[in-house]
Amino acid sequence: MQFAFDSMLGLGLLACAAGVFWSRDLFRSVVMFIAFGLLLALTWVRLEAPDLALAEAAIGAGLTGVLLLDAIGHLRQHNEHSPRNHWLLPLLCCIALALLLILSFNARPEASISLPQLVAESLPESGVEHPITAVLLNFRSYDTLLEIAVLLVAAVVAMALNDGLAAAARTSTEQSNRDPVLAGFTSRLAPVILLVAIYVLWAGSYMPGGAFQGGAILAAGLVLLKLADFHIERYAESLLRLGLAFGFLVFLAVATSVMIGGRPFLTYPEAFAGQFILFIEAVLTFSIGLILFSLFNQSPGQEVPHDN
Amino acid sequence: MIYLQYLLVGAGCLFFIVGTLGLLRFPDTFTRIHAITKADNLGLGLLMLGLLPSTESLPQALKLILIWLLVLAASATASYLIAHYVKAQSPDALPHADTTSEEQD
Amino acid sequence: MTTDFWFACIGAVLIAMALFTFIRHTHLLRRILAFNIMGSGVFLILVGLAQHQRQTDPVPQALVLTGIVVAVAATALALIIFRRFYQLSGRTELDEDQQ
Repeated sequence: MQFAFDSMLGLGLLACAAGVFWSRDLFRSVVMFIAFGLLLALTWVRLEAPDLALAEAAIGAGLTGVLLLDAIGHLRQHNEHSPRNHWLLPLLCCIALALLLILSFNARPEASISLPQLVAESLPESGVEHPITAVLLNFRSYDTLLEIAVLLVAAVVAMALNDGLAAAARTSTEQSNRDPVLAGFTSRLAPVILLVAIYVLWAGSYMPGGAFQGGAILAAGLVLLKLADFHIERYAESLLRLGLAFGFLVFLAVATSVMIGGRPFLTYPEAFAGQFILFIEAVLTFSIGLILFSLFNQSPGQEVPHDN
Repeated sequence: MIYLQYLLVGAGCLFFIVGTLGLLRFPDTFTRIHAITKADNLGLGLLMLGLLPSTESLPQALKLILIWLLVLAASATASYLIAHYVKAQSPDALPHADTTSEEQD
Repeated sequence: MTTDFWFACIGAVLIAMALFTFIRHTHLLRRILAFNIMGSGVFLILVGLAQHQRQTDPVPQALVLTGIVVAVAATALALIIFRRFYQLSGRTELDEDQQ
């Protein structure tokens, strides 16, 4: 039974990927990509990784899908040039790559240390009960610090590419054509989304959930509001920009402030580790949500006339 | 109790299959929306009813019901938006005579 | 054939398919899609192979969680650059790819 389900799921993934790659219409490709994201979320559940399933459902299927559909909507025509003529050599190389990868799986070296065991042993000292949150924010918090830095850089580059254009786009869409049904639904849904984001963040300390999933849900809510023509970013633009950097700055401040007490960089005092992690996570959720939203918000529109 | 649950979940799955069949086989966007939303809402409702007795606590049960209500509201809004869009693309086309909306499925 | 190993193999096939599309198609949006799916394949291998014949492992799962969030930021940035390029040039392919 389980094997049948796994086979179906795996073949479904491959079929969706084939749809993404080889359908003629790009719109169809994007829709297949969203379906692929949903199937991948199911796959993470089968691999006993509910955290990844949450993140994939919110990000892979939700946010990426919206970004891609938005980009498609601004293309004037969907058709593309015919693909390249020489295909035999790449095809052979790619088949060989797949075979080599699968063969190499069997030749992998044995692990000299057992990471899950190590995590389980150190879990009581980490301040949280959920192992993945412990890894992300205590054992390997360097990764998370650098990750939020990467997100911040992406948002800054997006703003740099769009500055000046944003003002032009804003005036052109000044009068709102708010759809009553969508606006009503969204305005009622927004508090629920906020509540879910905070719940997922809070739950992260003892069960699947955490800053990334909460941030993704927050960003999805903000994007939904934007799509329903509620331009919240206009009311607090400078605050929004500050919020982008807030997560990284607070994380860095906490990481360095423990050095005053004579501890190494990024280690928390054991007695307060739980509170430290929750505080950092709350700030991270806020910033990740805002960064992902601003990456959507900064997308260049088509209204701006191009002069070449 | 467990047989009732099997029955409810099975009926829910049946509605999903029928809805998907409608989505694949119906000729235009409006009938497709009709098939997928009606079947999915009812199918998901039956699935939720079937799973409710297996929940361990009241909050868990309430979360299940909340998911169903959210999906109901979201799918109703999404169907309205799709229908609205198709209507705006071809204002003179009657819903049942619309055969040119193949690319918006 | 465990579940984990099966999905690692699916990940390998996804990578190969995506690479083929990446080479063959020149439309930048399709390349972004292919790149994303290639990343998903890598994530599947990372988690699947680490858990094959062992218990569930939180370390690769945490790494992949970081990876998913960075991937969406990279995709968003790629889309923004692509749309800016399209705005300025009206083209959806790079210069060296035009036949």
